[in-house]
Amino acid sequence: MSFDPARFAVASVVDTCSVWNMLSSLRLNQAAIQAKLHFCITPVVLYECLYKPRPNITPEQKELMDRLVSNRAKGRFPVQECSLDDLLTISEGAPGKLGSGELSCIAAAYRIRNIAVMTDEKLARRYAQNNLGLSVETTPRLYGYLHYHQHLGGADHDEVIKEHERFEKRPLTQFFNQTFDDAMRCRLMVNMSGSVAKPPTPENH
Amino acid sequence: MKIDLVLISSRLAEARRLQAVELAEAATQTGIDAGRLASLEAGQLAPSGDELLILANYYARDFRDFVDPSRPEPFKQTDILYRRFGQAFTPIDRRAIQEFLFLCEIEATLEKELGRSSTPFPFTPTGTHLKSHGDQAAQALRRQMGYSSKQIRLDIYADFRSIGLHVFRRRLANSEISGLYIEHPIAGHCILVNYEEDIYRQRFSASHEAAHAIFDSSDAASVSYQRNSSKYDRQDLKEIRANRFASCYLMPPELLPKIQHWDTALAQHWAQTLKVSTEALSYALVDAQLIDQGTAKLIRSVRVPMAEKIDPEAPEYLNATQLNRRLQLLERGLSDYYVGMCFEAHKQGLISAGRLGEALLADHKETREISILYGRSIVNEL
Repeated sequence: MSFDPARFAVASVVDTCSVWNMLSSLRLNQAAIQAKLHFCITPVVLYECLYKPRPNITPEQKELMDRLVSNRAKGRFPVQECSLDDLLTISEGAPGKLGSGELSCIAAAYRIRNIAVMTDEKLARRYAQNNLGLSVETTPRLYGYLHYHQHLGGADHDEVIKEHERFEKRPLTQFFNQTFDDAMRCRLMVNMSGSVAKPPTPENH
Repeated sequence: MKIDLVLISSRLAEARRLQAVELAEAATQTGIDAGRLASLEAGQLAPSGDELLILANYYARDFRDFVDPSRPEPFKQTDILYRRFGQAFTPIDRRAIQEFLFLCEIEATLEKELGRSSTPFPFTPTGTHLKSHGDQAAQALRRQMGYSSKQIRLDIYADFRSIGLHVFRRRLANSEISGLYIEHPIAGHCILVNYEEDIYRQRFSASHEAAHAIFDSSDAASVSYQRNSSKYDRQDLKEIRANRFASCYLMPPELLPKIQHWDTALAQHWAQTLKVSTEALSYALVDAQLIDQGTAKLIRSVRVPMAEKIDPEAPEYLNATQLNRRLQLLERGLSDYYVGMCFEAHKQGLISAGRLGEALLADHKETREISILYGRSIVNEL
């Protein structure tokens, strides 16, 4: 999958998996705030993250849930609802294949159009991108973007991965390493040619 | 698809009624305001996409059940079940049954998409004596499976899955119920065995419910009670037939030992050999006229120690942690077969990680824990 670390959507609707991946690293999350990127979630994602009954909650899970609550109290991760019409339209091409959180994020983005779907899930991502023509972002892409634009420094790399691996049993380390390397390589190439692209704004993205 | 508000509202109300959940409870659990939920159920408002997904999740149903008139009517079978046996089921058991049906539907869909075919067992009995129909069917099925008359099969769950039955085990609060059978409009024959019973009784119950699938699918739904339950009907010929099938499938008459002088050690030995309870063994021996009632009572007076029983779906090669986790999953109705198939479907790109979690009745964290337990990966991509 091609990746341009200079670009990332200004606004994304984030699925459950990506919410946890983003919040797993305080440094990454803080850098995303600093980069003035906007992330919203759907009521289904909020339900899955905070309210859905679960048999037991580990201290790590509780910590992530607290982080989401605290971020929301500061105005981050506002809720964007999807309509029934959009849900029915977007789910027709993938009956029984996607989870509720993924469906609701795709349906919300389908309506707004100039907002990306942020998911780290392969099938959801491909469906949104290839079948519905939506912009799709991932947590590793966000990570690469933050490095490229120096919202994160080289010294943060190990720490972000360490933080992430503490919470995630199936970590994205391989992809974080890849987007970090890509970001560094692209910066080097651009530096050699003289200029680094400015972060995109809603107008130029 | 056109939005039919009458269909959506009636099905939302029906889903809640079948699970015997109060409006306030549903509102608390879903985070949807009670007044709004009442309006949705009354057809005064249309739900948002998110509300429908949350409610479908809460009621353990596919959201399309509420909106798609082209799908088979999704409430009929459980409605029949609860009309006949409603008193037997608490809201917790009703939720367990709904989750079981949800798993059956996913299992049936994934089997189809993965190209896993079953070999049907079309059985036509001869004669009018119902009990002997059980005998005939057990013999015929063992023949279809290629078992010799002396062969003892441990994993009968795999046998029944191979003929297209969906078999799950799940703990029910009502311990008088040994199992139930539902003919699901999408999944077909669905068998739930009460995990509350001991392992060997569960094998018998699974076989008993398989008999209902073979003979009684036109009844749509049935519940079986343990023999010692006050609700167990000793005169019910369908139950007698199902017991006979189970007995003959697990213990073909040729396999029963012909012993002159039974003692408790022999009783334990043969129950363990045949992987059945001493109770089931005693009834099989009485039926075969190999023992009298006094000896049957002696055989029933002992049990095979729990520690010596082997669950075919929690094999001995697992370490203690894995075994514990596997047993927890089994209690939630997640068979090894089902979990393995869900991961295979995810690997092949048939279901997303989010859908995988729903199929496993698990959240993000649990899905990843299960993936580690099963040595399977969650597919991500840059």
